[in-house]
Amino acid sequence: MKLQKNNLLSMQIKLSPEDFEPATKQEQEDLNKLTANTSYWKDAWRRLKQNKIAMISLVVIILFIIFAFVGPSLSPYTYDQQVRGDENMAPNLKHLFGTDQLGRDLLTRVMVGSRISIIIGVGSALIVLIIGSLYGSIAGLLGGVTDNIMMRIVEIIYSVPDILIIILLQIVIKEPLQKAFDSGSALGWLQKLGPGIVAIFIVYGLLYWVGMARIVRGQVLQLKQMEYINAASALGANNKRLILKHLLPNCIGTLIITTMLQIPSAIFTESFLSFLGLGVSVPMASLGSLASEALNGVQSYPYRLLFPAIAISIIILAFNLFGDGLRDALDPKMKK
Amino acid sequence: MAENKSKNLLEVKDLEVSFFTYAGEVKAVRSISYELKPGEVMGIVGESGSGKSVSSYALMGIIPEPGKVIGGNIIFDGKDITNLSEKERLKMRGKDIGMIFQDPMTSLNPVFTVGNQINESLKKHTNLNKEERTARIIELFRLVGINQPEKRMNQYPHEFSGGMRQRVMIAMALACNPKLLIADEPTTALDVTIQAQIVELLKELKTKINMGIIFITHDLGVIADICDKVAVMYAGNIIETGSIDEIFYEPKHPYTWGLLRSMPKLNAEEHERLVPIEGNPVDLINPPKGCAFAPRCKHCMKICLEKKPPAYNISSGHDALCWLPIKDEYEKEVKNNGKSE
Amino acid sequence: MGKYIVKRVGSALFTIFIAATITFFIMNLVPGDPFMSEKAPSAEVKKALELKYGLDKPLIIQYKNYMINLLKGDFGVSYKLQKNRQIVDIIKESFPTSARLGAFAVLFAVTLGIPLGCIAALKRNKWVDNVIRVLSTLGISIPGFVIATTTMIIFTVNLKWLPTSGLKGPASYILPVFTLGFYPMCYVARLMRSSMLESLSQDYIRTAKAKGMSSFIITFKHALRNSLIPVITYLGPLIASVLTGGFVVEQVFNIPGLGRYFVKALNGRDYMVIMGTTIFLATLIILMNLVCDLLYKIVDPRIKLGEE
Repeated sequence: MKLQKNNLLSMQIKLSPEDFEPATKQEQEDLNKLTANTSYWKDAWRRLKQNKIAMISLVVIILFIIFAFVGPSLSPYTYDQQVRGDENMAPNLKHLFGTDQLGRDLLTRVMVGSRISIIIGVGSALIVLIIGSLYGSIAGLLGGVTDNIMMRIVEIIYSVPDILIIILLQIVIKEPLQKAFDSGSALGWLQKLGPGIVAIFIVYGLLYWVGMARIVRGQVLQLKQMEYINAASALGANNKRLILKHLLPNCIGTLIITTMLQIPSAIFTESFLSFLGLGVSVPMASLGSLASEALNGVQSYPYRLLFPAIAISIIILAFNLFGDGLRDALDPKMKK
Repeated sequence: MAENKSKNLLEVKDLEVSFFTYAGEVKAVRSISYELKPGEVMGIVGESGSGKSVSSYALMGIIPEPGKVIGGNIIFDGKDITNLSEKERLKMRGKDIGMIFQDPMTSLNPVFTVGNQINESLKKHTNLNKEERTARIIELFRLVGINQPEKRMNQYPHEFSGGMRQRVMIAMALACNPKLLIADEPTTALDVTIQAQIVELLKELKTKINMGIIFITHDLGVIADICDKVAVMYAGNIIETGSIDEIFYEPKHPYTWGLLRSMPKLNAEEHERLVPIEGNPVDLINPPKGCAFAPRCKHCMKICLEKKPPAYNISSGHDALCWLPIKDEYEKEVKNNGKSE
Repeated sequence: MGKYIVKRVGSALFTIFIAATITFFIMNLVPGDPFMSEKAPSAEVKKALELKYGLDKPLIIQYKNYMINLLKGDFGVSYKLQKNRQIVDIIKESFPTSARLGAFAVLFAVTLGIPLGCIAALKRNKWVDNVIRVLSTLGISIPGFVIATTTMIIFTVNLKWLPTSGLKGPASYILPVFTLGFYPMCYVARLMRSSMLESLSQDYIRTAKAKGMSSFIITFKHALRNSLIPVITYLGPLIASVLTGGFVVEQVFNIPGLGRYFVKALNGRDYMVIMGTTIFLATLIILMNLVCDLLYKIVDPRIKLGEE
């Protein structure tokens, strides 16, 4: 269906002179608003919402946080309260998860343990994020020899087997920390956390930031290049779009994903350390230490292992799956 | 041969391609039509996201997931290939239609030798034995201007420069003597001097081998040299089509004007600024009800906001999807009518 | 190539040196006497140690002596668990068991993980993919000691299908190898899936499609080889994870390997053994990384040898 010349008036289309009046700027802009591209974050959220596994994981994480942080205050017991006469009870109505050999309520202990595990995960991830992004951005911004030396250091730390060094550090750090805590010389809020957790934070702060530093440095270098391009060529109105749509998402997206995936990895590592007797110290309990404590009498009291083990697996699984979902949603490469 | 000349090699009729994404249906190609004769070279120009590449993937039947042809027909060599089975498609791809891509750095598999990658196509589509295939590869390398073909064919892609890799890609696409060559931004990723060389090579091949070429690019300048006709795409539509001269010297669509203005002129002063077209491409999920270009158009009229412009025939073979030339014509007719009344 | 190998070997040796140095100084942070902690060992051991390491001398001299001894292959002696026993002898005795177990676990992880990852990638977002994805993520979410203990209780205590502990006969290998290889297997499957998807989205896959290649050739010729490359780079960390995973598995299944010995040393605070074993394992892991790196360069022709 093509319009031919000289037959406009005979065509079906009704035209009037008003049709051909110039449109105002406002009208054009209104149109622009209507057709404006959905923002990167909106888009990412839309993609995330589509991902059923990730959304279920998110709900599980939220429920778990409620369980860990609100749960203990609803419980009639405290995590270290030894209920006389209730020792070694199997799960029952009074103690839903049963009790341990000292008569401590396992449900409360699992709730508090979850809290500790989440604090360990989130705390370590934040430490890694802060140190890594500071170090990485300094290296990237300064460039040259400084960058070279800083990245050499990162490379060395990266190639030294981390888990072995962590074990060593834990052995060495825990005792002096314990003494410092016992004498009460630690800072207020640190005192609350206990030496085990602080030791883990220190170890993470010493070793695990290198991956983050590498990523941040890469992004900063990219940013520098972009600025160069911006200055050199006339991209006109597209600068803002470039930064908002390409650079920021690239940077923040990767940071979020890496931080998110650091959480389960820290919880996992702590449980491994707990097995080796190097995790958080008694009477404090993380999910990992609860599970490894239960190993001794596991044949007679399997539920003592079961509950913390299920809890730890679910929380790590949920964080991992949600992290995966976030990566899929935020990664612009997968956009099409 | 004689009757073949008049026959179209390729007819695309009202082709529509959509991507069915989480966010809704993205209408990447919205009813486009064109024809191509054997030996003819057509340029398709447009910015990224205009549907120019997707429309060519439709010809090959390699639209990436979750895209689909949802309407129209593709008639190749007298045969409707729109709904061909995957098996028949496999036989056609690389044999009847060859394709080269934008980035020669990533379009070749890094872990196999280039000879291996061409050989695989010959093995699939021809009955040549091993020696004949090697001979053919050497012949192809000579054809596209790669020196020492016997040595080069056993090298890996990373041992080639960008321009040389694109020559390998061209050799690969030509391996089975296709009737149609689709060149999807073949020069975009290359240096300017290499660009010229590749265009020169395609021009040379066009005369040597009588095949149709679809040359896709976002740069009008590149195709001036090689194409017989041009289709300008915007937001999934062909908004203007015509011969090279018509598009370059009598463009009717404001978008084409913009493209021409943003094109670097070879003889221009070095510091002359290019004029980019302002604004962003449209959202193809919710295309505006009027003209897709209206929000960015400097000549936007009331009707452009409301009604999609029809294809307006300016002269034989020169069409534009725009109200602007219609306005001129309308005013002329009204004036004439007034006089006669 | 030669130049690259020399450079890479050099940097590996340097890393080993750094690892040993870090280990030495960390161990010296232990409060009190670094070599003997809270309980004093017998006078004769103490004397022997003092003689050998010059414990009365400044730290830096001790460090020098320890490193020179390391170069001679002398890791020192245990003074708590097995008094005066050479640590080298302990390693010689117990490591082969760990290595055998680890080798089987690596084999298990790779031969199962790669196909699972491929299947998931090819069936992307279908139910098969979802099942493999969730299960493999579950696999990297359950702590190793939980898997080891649970499978042990189920298969040896309750069902009595498999022997409880030790390594006698092929059947006794099943559970330790499975539990040791499970985490890396799941990790490989996840890695393989994402790297396969990455490969399948590459431009050269589109080229192969445009050539009319069948999906069989596209998958198994063009995509597979490229997607195996990241798996090869993971082999180094995989071996490390199997070695440290051995700490748990050997302990739970009571297997007389180096891992169990290391855990014993940890619990008994036998610092010389901890230090020696750590340096030995770190060296092993760094060397394995080196081998994987070289292997990677061979498989991937893109990397120009001699370049960083």
